[in-house]
Amino acid sequence: MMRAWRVSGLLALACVLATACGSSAGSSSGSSAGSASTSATSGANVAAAQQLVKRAEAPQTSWKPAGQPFNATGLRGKSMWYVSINLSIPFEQYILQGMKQGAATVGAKVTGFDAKSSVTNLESGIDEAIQAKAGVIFVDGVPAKEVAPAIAQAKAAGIPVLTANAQGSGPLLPGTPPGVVGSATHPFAIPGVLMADWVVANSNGNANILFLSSEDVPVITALVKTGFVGETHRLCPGCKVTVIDSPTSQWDQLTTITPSLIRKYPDANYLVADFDGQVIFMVPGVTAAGAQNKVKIVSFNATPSVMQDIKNNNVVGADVGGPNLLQGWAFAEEGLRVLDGLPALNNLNIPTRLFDSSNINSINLSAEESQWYGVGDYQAAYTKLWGASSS
Amino acid sequence: MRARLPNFFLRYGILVVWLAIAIVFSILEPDTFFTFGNLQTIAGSQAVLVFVALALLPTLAAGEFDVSVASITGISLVLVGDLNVLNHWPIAWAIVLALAVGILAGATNGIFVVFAQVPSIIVTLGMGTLLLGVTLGINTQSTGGISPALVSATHTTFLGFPLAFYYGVILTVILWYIFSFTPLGRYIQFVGGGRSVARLSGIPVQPIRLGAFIAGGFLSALGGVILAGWLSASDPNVSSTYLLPAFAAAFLGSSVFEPGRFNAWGTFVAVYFLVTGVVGLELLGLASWINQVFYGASLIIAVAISRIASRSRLNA
Repeated sequence: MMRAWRVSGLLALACVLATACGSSAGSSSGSSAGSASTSATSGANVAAAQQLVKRAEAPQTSWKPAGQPFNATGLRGKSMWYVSINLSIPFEQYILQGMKQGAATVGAKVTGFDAKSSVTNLESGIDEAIQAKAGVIFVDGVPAKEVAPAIAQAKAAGIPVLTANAQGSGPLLPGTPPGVVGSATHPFAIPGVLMADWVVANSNGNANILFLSSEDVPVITALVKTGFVGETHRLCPGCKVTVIDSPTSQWDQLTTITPSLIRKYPDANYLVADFDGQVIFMVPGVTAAGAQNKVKIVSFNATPSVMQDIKNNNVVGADVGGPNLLQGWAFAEEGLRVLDGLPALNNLNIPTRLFDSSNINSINLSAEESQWYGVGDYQAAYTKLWGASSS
Repeated sequence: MRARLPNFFLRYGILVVWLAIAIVFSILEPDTFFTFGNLQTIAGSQAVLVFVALALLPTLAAGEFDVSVASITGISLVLVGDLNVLNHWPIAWAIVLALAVGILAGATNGIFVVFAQVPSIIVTLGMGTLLLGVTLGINTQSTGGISPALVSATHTTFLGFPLAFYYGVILTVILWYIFSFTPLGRYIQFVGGGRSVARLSGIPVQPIRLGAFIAGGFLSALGGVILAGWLSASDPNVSSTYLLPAFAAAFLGSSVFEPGRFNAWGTFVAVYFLVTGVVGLELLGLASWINQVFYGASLIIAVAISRIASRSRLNA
């Protein structure tokens, strides 16, 4: 989904942001979670990683929506605006589609606005939503402070604002402008943690990892990377992580860069990409370097083409993802709560699942992607929660 | 002798510089740059860029600009993925349709330029943008699982290099032959040198200009097919980054072998000159933005050298 986050117009800003968030932007190599010379990872840690992987590989059958039931049927005719950073991104399209489906069950309406990767357009979208007397406005893809003046206008008009995919799950970040009442987001740190668990388990604690980090994607990259590096540190002090800057604008050059990296770091045995968008170019790069049996790729997003690579045993070892359409319903849940005057949840309990050779054949890649996660009839779960279902 | 020395450098200077940067990178990174594996990477990974750069030759030689080549490559790539993987077309039919779309796009460019007399840069800019939109309309996501037959046809190695590399060599030889040894090639150069003079000489200027756009569309689409095999997947966002390096290679190529003329071997060498530089800089661990600096600077320098070469040819 995050090939996706090719928001090139915005990305100059993003670099600044990534730096502000403490990530190691800029140079092509950098941080290390440890060194090969440090003490070997204990068997207990590897066993712990294997347990965590096993849990993450399993269908998420115990998943439930995050919030308590409330009656949303009185919200008929109310409107939500989803001001998307870029609606040509499949991930964004899924979210909007899921939001529309969910809101429609209670008679509410969702309007999408495509900012085409421009912060200026994002502000225009907020203005349009204010003019249209939206009930709640989602501002997607950039930290709210980037569009603080427009949010202030929404506040003046009495319209609450929710940030979308602009921070991790949990309370609003310090410095979030007034007018923002909550956040709707994927729990971006979790995929990073799960990828680290898989690498530690799969390598038996002997991983030398190149982490390809899209530093020009603000916030999200920092969350994924922090989750990955932190978990690798925790479970495998002897594993080495080298962070490589891989800006979105140059993902397609990874066919050339990947073999160069494999030669430059001959001991590397795992290539971890923060987004699947890189993997399509990394796979031929690994093949060109003749390193198919030496290097495994691990990534985040569970997009169909990368899932197919796992199925074909084609260089990709594992991929972590979340159900995109379900996420749209979860965003609708957050919006409906705010429309109803309830506090925002800020943690939407969006499930994640890890896919590898052990479970890839148990799912139907042709089926709608939310079904890969084993969450059951999530739409019925939400409609029941909102009092929109007779069941 | 004094006159020959600059002429030698104009013709073969890029080879000298290429050798020089290869030696510098080999000294700086002996364990990674100066390896056969790295040579394979440099040769194989940029075969598509060879196709896109060579797709520019017919129009550039005919005095036109075609900035839609990368978009044609992109739509061809996505069509192959979409038709073969999602719609289960046999790979051969998917390739035929992708090539047909490339020819159609090139013909449309040519018709607007030749018959409606719209400047080529405007028409092809519009066409490139249009095709980019259509490509996203076909599929916004990457699609994996392209026919193994096409994947093998690009990745299988022969004498240590993937077949994709040899396709680029074959295309270079074909274009070199056409431009150097056939009346058609000379006619195209005449048209590029001056339409009025060419017309007065009895050369069918309009059909040649139209044909140049069609050839460019076809070769760009062929590049998309090669890319589909190389990636074993399709992606709607890939193509745009080929445009600048392709122009850089075509212009840089026009400063070598036959200075002042767009030529196939010059373009081929220029592609690998550029890739050598980029790979070397990557191996040195320089920040990734250096690639764009390298490509951009190469384009400016290439055009400057090309202009100097043209002037010196005219003054000779």
